[in-house]
Amino acid sequence: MPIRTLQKIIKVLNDKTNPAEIALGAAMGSWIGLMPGFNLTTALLFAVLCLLNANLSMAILFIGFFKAIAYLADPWIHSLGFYFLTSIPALKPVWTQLYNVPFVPFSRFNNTIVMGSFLLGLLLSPVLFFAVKHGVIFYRAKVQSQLARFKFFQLLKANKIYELYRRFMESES
Amino acid sequence: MIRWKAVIPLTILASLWSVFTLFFMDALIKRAIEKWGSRAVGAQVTVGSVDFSLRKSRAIIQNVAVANPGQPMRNAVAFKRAQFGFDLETLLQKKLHIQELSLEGLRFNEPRKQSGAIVKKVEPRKENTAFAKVKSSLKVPNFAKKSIPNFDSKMLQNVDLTALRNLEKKKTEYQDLADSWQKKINELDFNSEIQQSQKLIADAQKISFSSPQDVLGAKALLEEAQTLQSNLAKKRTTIETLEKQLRSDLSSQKELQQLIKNWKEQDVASILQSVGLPDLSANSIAQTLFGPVWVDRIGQAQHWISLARKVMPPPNPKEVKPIPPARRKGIDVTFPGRKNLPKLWIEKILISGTALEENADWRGEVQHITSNQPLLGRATTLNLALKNANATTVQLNGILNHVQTPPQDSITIQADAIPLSNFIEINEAGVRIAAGQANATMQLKFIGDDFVILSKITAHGVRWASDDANGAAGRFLFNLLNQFSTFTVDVKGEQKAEEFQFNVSSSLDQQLGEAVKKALGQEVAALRAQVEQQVNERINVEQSKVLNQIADSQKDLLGNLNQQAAPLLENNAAVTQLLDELNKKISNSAGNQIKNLLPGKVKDLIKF
Repeated sequence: MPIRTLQKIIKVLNDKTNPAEIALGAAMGSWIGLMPGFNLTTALLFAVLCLLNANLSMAILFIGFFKAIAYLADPWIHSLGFYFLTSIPALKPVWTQLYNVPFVPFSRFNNTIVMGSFLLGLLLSPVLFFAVKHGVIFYRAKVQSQLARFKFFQLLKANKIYELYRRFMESES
Repeated sequence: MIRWKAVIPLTILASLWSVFTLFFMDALIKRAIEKWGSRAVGAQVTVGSVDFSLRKSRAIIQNVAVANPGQPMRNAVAFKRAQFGFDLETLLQKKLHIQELSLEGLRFNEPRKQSGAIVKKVEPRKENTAFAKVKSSLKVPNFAKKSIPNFDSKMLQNVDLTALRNLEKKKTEYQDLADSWQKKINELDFNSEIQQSQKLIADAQKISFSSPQDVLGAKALLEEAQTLQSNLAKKRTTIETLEKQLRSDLSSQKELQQLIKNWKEQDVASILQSVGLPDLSANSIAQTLFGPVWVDRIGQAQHWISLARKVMPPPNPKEVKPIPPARRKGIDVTFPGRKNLPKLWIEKILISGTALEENADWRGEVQHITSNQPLLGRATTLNLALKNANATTVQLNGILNHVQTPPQDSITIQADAIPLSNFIEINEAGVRIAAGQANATMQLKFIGDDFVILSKITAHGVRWASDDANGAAGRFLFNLLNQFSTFTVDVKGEQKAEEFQFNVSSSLDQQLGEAVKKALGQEVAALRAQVEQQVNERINVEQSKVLNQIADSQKDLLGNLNQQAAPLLENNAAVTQLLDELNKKISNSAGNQIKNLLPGKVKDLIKF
């Protein structure tokens, strides 16, 4: 399974996929990965991910990765959300207004983790977008040809051989 | 930039989701109630069916059963049907506001066909250690577990008796005393006085009284004799004093006998205690007979009320501290709403139901159940009444007030003509109440984290029954209790911090205590006589030895003293006799001498 994922990543990086799409997938994936549980906010972010021309493989990869990071960074995320929800007087009317709009409470925006994760995602996504985009461009320009010489990557690229190998192993077991 | 191809699938997905939610809302709500209810209560919550209608803004929930976590084969509460309307606008704001909820077919403590215990993914119900500690200290009285134990006299042969030990000590003490007296007697020295007396007597015999010089010599001797007599008198007094002291020291046989008697009684009491005679103290009886059941009931009541209090926030919700909550859970911050409503508010619940075992009907209402009392500004109130054909009535009133600080919650129950087994159950001693009724009042108050419970039960028309499985002990207790058909029981429990103090007292305490003493008295007396006989047999021999030793010591010492003093006394008598003789001789001799010296005519005038 990890090999399959790695295979997909290499494929995405090496083929003609637009770097912006890869970066968008990474950015949205990180944002969704930071969000806790499943609520209206997460559902909307998923919808945005689906509607935008974002690379879904990269998004899934970054969702998984940032789920782990979110778990570790939970206390700071909670503090961030709590601060924004309670300690900024100028925002209180906004929150109060939102709190009284039908359906909006289902987004759980008033939960400290949801708010903190949303804000962190909002800050991190643009940064991640540009970083991944330029990273992909750099990879394709400078690194790709270097790595192609390694047998490991050749093997990964050999889809059919790998598929045969996998089927063989399954039949043996 | 837009993936137009995804628009249609997303729209279809959203539609499917909406349809699914609308059609399967009932099942989702049912599952949510069962899942979250079970977690909150710690036992299974089952829901028969849910009929939820957004269009009609109403819901009907049927056949709900909440298992008792302490007794999984029974339901703590169950009801047949709950119906309520709700405000759709507030529901879309994720708040539930119900103006009136009708609850029908409410039942308590009914048996279940399957266990309602939850095995996994639920925090185990924390045992109140303070309650457990009190309950474990309430042991059924000794006499309810066994009758008078069989006493084997061979047990006493190896028992270390205090009386014997003390007698041994006394023996040594008296021996030391006798030795010291003997030493004192040996130290008595009258030799100089005796020698002086003998010399005086010898000198006196040498005097012839033939001349005036002899008289003068005799007079000097007389003075010496008088001095000696005075010394001898002092010595004699000393001897008499010693004799008195000796008699006093070694003649305390009466005191010793009293001491030995006290030691024997101590030994007998100690042996009876070690044999395990029942504690006949009156105070313990009611506590141990009625206590365990009441501790259980108080524990259950405290558990359920604490659960209800847990869902209510503290009086100052603004003081939410920014401490890290459970991972990925966070804290929900509330904001003032247009209508300023809490997340949950049920204005009124109309209750009706039956208590099947009592064949009685419940009626009542609960007002202002809410998730945020301080925001709402109203306390939750509870009024329930039960009546049945047998004139049993129960009135339950309660108030949960978390608007103020500290929160104060109280429940009052007034019950008349209730079957006695509901409030009192003796199940460990093999005796139970077969029939009887009681009037009872109970008050339970929570202030902050502390609570107090007071209850008074007046029982009348009581008939007892014995569980033969407990044999003689059960029958014994049954015979005692069967004399009492009317009694009162007072229960008081108080919990502060982690300490739980519990006290049950009853009018049975004194009555049962006396009855127990009377019933057991004869058997105890027979056992006591047996033990006393055994103790006396062991002690009397030693006692005689010691007393005889003291008497013999006294006799010997007095004999020695007399023997030591005898020569002195003899000489004393001799000196006294000498003095008399000297006085006479001196008087006679002096007269004759003067007569010889006077002329004849003067002699005739002065008659000698």
